[in-house]
Amino acid sequence: MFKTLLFSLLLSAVSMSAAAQAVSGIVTDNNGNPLSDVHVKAGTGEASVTNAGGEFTIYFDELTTDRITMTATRIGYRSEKRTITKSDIAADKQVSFVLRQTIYESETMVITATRTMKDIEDASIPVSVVSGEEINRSGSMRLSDILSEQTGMQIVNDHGTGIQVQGFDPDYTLVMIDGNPVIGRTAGTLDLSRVSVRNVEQIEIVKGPSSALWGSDALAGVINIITDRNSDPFSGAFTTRYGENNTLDLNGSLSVNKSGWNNDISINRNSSAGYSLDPVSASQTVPEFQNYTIQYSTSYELSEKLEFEADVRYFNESQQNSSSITDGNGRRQFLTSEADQQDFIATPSFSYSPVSRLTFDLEWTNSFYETRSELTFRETDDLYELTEFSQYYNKPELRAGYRWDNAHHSMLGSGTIFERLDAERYPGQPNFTTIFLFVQHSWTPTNGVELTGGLRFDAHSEYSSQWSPKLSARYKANDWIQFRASTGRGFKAPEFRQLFLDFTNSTAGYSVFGQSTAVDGIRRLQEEGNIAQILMPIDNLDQIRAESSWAVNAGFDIDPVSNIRVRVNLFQNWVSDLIETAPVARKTNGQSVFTYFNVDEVITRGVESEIRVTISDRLRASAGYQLLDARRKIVEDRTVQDDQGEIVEQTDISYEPMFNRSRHSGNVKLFYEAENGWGANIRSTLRGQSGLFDSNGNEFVDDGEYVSGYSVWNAAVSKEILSSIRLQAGVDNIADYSNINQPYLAGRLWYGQVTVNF
Amino acid sequence: MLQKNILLTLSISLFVLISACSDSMTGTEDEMVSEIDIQTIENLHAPFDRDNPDASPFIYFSLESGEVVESSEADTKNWDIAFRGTSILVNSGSSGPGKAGAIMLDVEFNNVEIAPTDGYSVDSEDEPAISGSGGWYTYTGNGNPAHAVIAQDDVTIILKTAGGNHYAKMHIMSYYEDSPDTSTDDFANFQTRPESQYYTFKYALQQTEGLRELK
Repeated sequence: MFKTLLFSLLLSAVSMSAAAQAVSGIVTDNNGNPLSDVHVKAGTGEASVTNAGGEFTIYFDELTTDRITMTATRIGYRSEKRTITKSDIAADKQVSFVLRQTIYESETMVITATRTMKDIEDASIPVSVVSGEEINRSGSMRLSDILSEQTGMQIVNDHGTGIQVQGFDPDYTLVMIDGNPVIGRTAGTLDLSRVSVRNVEQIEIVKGPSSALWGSDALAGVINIITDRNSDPFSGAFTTRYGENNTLDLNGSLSVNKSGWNNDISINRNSSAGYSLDPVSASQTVPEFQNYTIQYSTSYELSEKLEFEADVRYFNESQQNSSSITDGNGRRQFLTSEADQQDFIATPSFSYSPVSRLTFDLEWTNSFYETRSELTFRETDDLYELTEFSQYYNKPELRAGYRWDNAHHSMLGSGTIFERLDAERYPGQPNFTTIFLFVQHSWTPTNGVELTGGLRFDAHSEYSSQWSPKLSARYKANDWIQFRASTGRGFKAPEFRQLFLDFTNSTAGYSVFGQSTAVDGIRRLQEEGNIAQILMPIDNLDQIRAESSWAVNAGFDIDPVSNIRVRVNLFQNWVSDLIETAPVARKTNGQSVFTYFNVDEVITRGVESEIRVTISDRLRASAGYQLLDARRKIVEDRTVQDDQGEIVEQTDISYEPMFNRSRHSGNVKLFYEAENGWGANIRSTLRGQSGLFDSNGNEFVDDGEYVSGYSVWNAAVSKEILSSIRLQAGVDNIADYSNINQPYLAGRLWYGQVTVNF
Repeated sequence: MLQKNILLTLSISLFVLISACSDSMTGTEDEMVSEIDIQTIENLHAPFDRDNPDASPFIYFSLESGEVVESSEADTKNWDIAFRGTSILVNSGSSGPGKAGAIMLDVEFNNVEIAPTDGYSVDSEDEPAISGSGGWYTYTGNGNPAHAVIAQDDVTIILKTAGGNHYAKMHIMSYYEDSPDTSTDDFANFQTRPESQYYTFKYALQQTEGLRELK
């Protein structure tokens, strides 16, 4: 009744003014659902916004042109244009728009690029997002599972399952959960199988140095896991997956939210009997394990301006394995190993916003990581070796963000990192302190252009200070192409182990020393009569420096037609002072003594490209490819002859291919969803040949040292029943590929999964 | 056990250079005739038991005869080089009464055409003339293949014989029985890796006293 009245009022208003004319219409998405908040603008300047029903009306005072172009725009959707004529308006013709979602992570907000929530399309640094939906459909349990299927990411194994980004070893990628770094690396690798990806909203991946925002370790890139926050008053889910190798994953989550108090809790148990790829080894390739992850997030609105939030995560894992040693009498003795690790992180924070354009964030990250490894003789149960390791990480940080106007946004942050180690391998419980300060400013002069500059200063207690600048720019040339470019510096402070390690492997017999402990350690071994030969003068070993790099990233996003998105990024990293182990002495048992050195230089460069196609509303396909060229500077002092045959010294410098880097890699994915609740997907990762065996010991890959590439195919089918239960079955590694050099690939694995939502 | 295999014996008579370039050449060497003897020695077993060093004597070798010399002749000039484990001696300095010497060249065997006149090292207690790790071989440590002694392709050892009067060049090709391909999985696996301490090497000896030509 009221509506009709209003309508007739409007109608009379229109008819009253002879010159006033109107165009009305409706905007829907491609499923026919009305879209609200769509900005509809006419070429003559008049504009309107759609209501909840997707309807709009634009009034014109006077029409001077015959043809009017109208544009409908909405964030997360591709803009649409319609041209109407005067006669259309006179005939009261309805103008309808159908907006398609932009397929490259539509309506996705990301935080990792600039530490402010930003539409992924508007970030000047390219961010790749893996959605929680993709993680669920892929049946992934651990972070390593889902990252292995992403473009430009290679799983590599070195004391754990790590990730290689833009040709960098796992040491150079910062891994965070909700913006807080995960600590606890073994030989530089953060074991990604420690991180459960249940209850994840999305994983954000930024490639290229990001030290200007995140400090040390963000040399190759940043992986930030955003955990799921539910806003329903009461909801939860339970997921169980069981598969081969007796692998069981149990996950429960619960969300309770009322009047400004939000709670999300999840508990995960993951266990497996492990597997063996090497029949002659006494040890399993992947040992039997059980682990638990408990995560709790709470936020409470203390007032309109002040909010408290706390994130707590605890992880605990036990591994059981066997190994063997040969004792002094040449007898093989079997050992039982029990390895436990746990990590904990708690981050209470306050967010204060005195006025809407100003926010302060104060947070305190408390974290520790502990491992305990015990080797006992199987026959006698006597202790053979006990190793314990503890790492503590504390970081108070204060940030302020200020939005000057629509075009300018600034951020300022400062904090201190306290770190401590407690382990037999590190005598004297070494401490590290870092004080840092960073600034960032974003300028958006026009809608399609953005410039962001950042600078961070890190003062280390042990090392020279680091300046990390970064500059990035975005230019949206038109509706179908957007360019991005960035340059910046990244660094990675030498780790505790590279300084203070004092370790002798009791099974294999080799020794590793940090730079500070190397001279004393080798002297001690010498006195004990364990050194057969010293390979280089140990009194003038070079002082170790922080590893650092400069990088350039440049690329574009193209939408040639509405359902295709092509993304291309070119990168080059100039890396200097990379720290590597090298033997300094040979022991009488035939093993080596290693310490750490700055290897002068590495250059990695390549192209990453990705294409996503929405074939239909139910069928999506994507393909990714990375071309990588990773080279190490090799300096060779050679003794050669001159024209007369006399000896001369000559220094040769060349850049040679690095080991374990595939020049070509890629992936192909196909996801299908039927109307009746059925879903299916097939995902493949391909890895080209890479250098593996340094069979001549020259430290770079020669022609004969490549191992051939491989591909891994995974598939899953799912069915939703009763709208709250999802059944899923899948097979990973269909072709049953396995190789002792890729220990994270277990061969073909079947699994079944049930998810219940309430 | 020693298996001697003469692959190729070349007697090359060449270059009587007087007529070719009369003004620049200096006399004596011009009239000498280069005669180069190239031999390949396979699987020379030179074991070294670290726990019992006295029970594993060096294996002494004469370049001129191409034969192993009895260890009772260690104090004579009848041998030029000696092997034990990865260690190699030359007959001079702390190792023997000879005038032998060695130069490690980072040049491929076939590309060495002439012996330098100067720069020959002799053995001392601290440092042998022929360096092992980083010299004629690379030790792979924890690399892959792990704990392997890999003979270097582009290293040639220039030798002076115990008498000090002949030049030779030498290339060690393998430290493992029957010279396996070190890039294979079989070699990387300790269970299937061939026995070590078996030298395979080739050398070219200039038969003409004092002549430096080696090709």
